[in-house]
Amino acid sequence: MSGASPRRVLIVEDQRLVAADLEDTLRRLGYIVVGNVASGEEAISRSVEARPDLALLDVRLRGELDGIQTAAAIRERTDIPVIYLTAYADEDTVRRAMLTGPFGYLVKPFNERELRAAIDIAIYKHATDRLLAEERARRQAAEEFKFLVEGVEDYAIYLLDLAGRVTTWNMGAQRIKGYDAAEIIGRHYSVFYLPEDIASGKPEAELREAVEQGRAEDEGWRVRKDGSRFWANVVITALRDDRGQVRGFAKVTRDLTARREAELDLRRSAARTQAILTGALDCVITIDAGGRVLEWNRAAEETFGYRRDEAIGREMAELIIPEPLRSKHREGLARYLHTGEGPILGKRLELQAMTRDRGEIAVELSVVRVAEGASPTFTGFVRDITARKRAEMERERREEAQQLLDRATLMLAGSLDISETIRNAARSALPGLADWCLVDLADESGELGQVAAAHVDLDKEELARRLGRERIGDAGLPHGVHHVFRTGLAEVHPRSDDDASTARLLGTERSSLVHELGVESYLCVPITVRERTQGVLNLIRSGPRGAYTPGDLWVAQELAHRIGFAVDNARLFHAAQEAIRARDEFLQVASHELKTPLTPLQLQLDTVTRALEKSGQQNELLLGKLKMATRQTARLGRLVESLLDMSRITAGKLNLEVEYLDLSDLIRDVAERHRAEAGKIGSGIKVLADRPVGGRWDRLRIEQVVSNLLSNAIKYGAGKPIEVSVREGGEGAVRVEVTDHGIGIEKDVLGRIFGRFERGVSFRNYPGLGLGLFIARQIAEAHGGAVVARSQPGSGSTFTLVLPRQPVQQGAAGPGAEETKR
Amino acid sequence: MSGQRSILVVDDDADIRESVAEALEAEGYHVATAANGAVALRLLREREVRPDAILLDIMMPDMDGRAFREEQMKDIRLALIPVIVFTAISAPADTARRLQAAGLLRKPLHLDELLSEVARVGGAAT
Repeated sequence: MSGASPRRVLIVEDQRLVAADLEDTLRRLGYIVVGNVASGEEAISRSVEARPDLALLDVRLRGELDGIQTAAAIRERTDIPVIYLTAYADEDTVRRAMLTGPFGYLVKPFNERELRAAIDIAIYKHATDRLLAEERARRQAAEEFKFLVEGVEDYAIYLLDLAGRVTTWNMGAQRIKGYDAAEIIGRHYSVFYLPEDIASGKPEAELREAVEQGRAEDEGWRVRKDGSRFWANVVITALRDDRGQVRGFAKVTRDLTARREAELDLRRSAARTQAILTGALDCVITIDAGGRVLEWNRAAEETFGYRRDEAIGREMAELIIPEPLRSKHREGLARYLHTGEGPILGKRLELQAMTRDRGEIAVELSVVRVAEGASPTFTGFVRDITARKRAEMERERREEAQQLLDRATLMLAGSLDISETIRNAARSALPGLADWCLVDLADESGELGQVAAAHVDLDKEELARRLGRERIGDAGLPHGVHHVFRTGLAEVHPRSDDDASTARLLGTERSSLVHELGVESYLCVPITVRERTQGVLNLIRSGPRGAYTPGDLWVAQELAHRIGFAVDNARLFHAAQEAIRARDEFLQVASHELKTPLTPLQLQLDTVTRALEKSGQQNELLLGKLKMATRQTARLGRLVESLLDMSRITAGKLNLEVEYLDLSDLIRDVAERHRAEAGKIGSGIKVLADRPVGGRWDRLRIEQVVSNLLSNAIKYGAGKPIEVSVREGGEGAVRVEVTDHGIGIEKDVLGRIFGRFERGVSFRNYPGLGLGLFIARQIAEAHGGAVVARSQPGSGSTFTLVLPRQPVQQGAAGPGAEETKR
Repeated sequence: MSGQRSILVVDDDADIRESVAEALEAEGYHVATAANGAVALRLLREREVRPDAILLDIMMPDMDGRAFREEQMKDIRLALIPVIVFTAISAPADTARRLQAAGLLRKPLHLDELLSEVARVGGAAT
C-alpha cells in the first residue's frame, strides 16, 4: 500500500478492552481508525457518516443487532467491505456469516500480520469486485447499444474500418440499401456510390474529410443493391481510440428521397404560384403581420417601380402608401392584429398609392388574410386605375363644365339687369373655372372697362375689384387683355415670376395687387356679341388646380359666349324697357296736355251756347255750329281719353276705383247720352233695365265700356234698332248685352276685334282708333269679368259684358272666349 | 245763405282759370283765382278771399294741389273750406278721397257739370 493514502477503518467491538487494543494495533500499522463503536446501530450510522474503507466487525454483538445483522445493514447502505472478528465459530454462525458475503474472517486471537493481510485482501477483493461489476455493466450496455442500433430501421448506421470496409450493419442499413449483413460486411463502402462519384473519388474524399474535420456530411444520390437510386443524407464520423488514433468510421445514412420529392413538389408548386403571380395583371403584394413585404409580383414591380428583391423585406407602407395615409395603415394593421377588426378585409377599395418616383396613382385594392394563426399574412390585389380614374375625372369634368355652363346660363337668364347679370356670370365661373375672375365690357366710347369682379375668397374680392378699377388703357401690347379685345382671339398665359409683366397682361400696373391675388394660370377669352368683340372674360387660377387646359378654354369660350348673349339680351331688353317707359311717359304727358286745352274749350263752347240760348235770339245757324263744335270737342276728349287708357293699360296701371252702384241706372244713363247720336242715323235704343242690379264696380270705367259698346252698335248698326239689357247671370255675375242688327262681323275677324288697334272693317269707311273693344275688354278683365262677341255677318252682333258682383284682383283673367252663334 | 257765394279757382292754366271764372261769375258767384297752391295759400292767409269752396287743380308748378291741400288742412282757419278736386290726372277719385275732397270734377267737362258740382259743394250762387 505504498504511495496510497492510509486506509480508513471502522472498529465494531463490544468488548472495550479488545476494541482499544485493536485500535492501538491498527494505528501502529498505519491505518486510520475512523470509529470505534460497540453496537450495531452505532456501526451503521458511523459507517454512513465516515465512509471507511473497511469495517472490522465482531460477529457477536450485544444489543438489538448482532454482528451479522449489522454487516448486512452496512452492506445495504454502503459498499464497505466487512471483516468479521470472531472468537469462535459455530456452524450456524459461520453459515449465517457466509450469506452476508464477508470479505474475510479473523479468528481471535490474531496477530498483526494476520490482521494486515486480512485487511489488504479484503480491500483488494472489494476493488476487484467493483471493477468486474463495472466491466460487466459496460459489456451489457454495449450489447444493448448494439441491439438498439441494429434495430433502428429509419437510419442506416454502420461502421467502417480505416480502409473503408463495412464492419457492422443494422436493420436500417439493410432496409435502405438492400444488402443483408452477411453480404456486405467486409466490402468497401463505395458500392453505395454512383459510378461517376466513384470515378471522381468522392468516397475517399469523404473519409479524408471526416479524418480532417472529425465529421463529413453530404446529401446526394446513392445506389441500392438493386441499382436503384435514393437521395441520402450521409454523416461520417471518424472514430478515435484513447490515444486519438483514427480506428474507423461511423456512418449514418438517411433516405430523404420522399422528403426531397415533397420538397420538390413544394418548390414546383411555389414556382407555379410564382408564375401565376408573375403573369398576373394585378399587383399581388403579400405582407406579414409587421407590414413587411413577403411577395411582390411583376405587376407590382412595373406599377410601383421597385424590383422584387428591393421590395421584399421592406415595409410596404414606406414603399407605396402616401405619407399622410401611412399612420392610418399602420394603425389599421395593429388594430386588426389586436382586436381582429379588419373593416377593409375582403372589400373593394379605391385609394391613392405612391410610386417610386413619388407620383400618385389611383388604385383599386382588395385585401385578404392568407395565413391563419398568431402571425397572419395579408395579400393585397392592387390594380392601377389611374387611366380609368382619369377617364372618369374627364367625364366628371365635362359634366362639371356642363353644369357650370347650365348654372351660368340660368344665372344669366335670371336677371335682365345688365350689371347683375354679369356679376352672376362672373360668380358662376367660380370655383370650377377660376379662383378669381374679371369681366370687362366696352363702354359707348369703345374703351374696355370692368363690369364685374369675383373671387372665391370674399375677402379678396375687393382686391380684384380694385385691380379692375385701376386698369390702364390699351398700351398696344402684343398680348394680354387689350390684345384679346382687339383681336378677338383667346389667350392662355402660364404662371410667371415676373409680377409686373403678369400685371401688364391683365392691363394694370399694380403688380403688388397681382402678386397678392396670385396668378397660377391666366385665361383670357373675348366676349363676342353679334360677331363683334364687346368685352373680355378674364379667368385666373391662383390655387393648386394648376394650369388651364384646352378643355378649360372650351368651357371659358362657351361661358363668354353666353355672357355675350346675355349682355346682348339685357341691352336689348334695357333699350326696349327704356322705349316703353319713354312712350308711356309721353302718352301720359300728351294725354294730360291734350286734355288741358280741351277744358277751357269745352267750357267756352258751353258758355257761349248758353249765352246764345239765354239771349232769346233765334240764331239757329249759329247754335247749330256751336253744337257741332261741342260734339267734336267731346269726341276729341274721348279720343284723348282712349289714348290715355291705352297707355295705362300697357303700363299695367289701369287702376279701378270701385264703389257701390246700380248697373241698371248706369245703363239707362249711358243710353240716354247716346240717344241723340243714335237718333241722327235713325237708330232707336231700347233699354231693358227696369230692376236695380247692384254691385261694386268702377263707375266711370263701366260707363266707358257700355258707352264703347253702344258707340260700336250705333256705328255698325246700319241705322237699325239697338237693344241694351242687363240681367243677373249665374254664379253672382251680371250680364250686359248690347245687340245691333247691322253689318255683323266675319268669323275670321271676330277673333281679333278685341286686339289693340284692330277693327272689324276698313279704316276708310269706319274711322276710329280701333281701341274701343280693346279697352272695353281690358276694363272688364280688370273687374274679373269679360266681354264676348257673337255675330252673324249681315244680321248684326251681340256684345256681352259679364261682370262679377265683386271685382277680383286686377290682372286676373276672365272668361274671355269668343262665341259665334246664330 | 247770406250774400254772394265766393269760389277760389286754383289752376296753372290761365284759359281754364278764365273760362271757369267767367262761367261761375255768369252764374252769380264771386270768383278769385290763383295760378298755383302757393298763391292760393297767400290769398287765403292774407284774407283777401274767404271762399265757400276751392276748385283745386292737382298738377301745378311751384305748389301742386296735394301740397296745397296739406297746408290748408294744417291751418285751422282754412281747413274747413271745402275743396273740389279739378283735374286731368288718372284715378282722380282715389286722389280726391285721399285729399278728403268734398267734390270731384274731371277735365275736360261740360258747363252744367261744373255748375252743379260747385253748387252742391259751395252752395247755389244766390
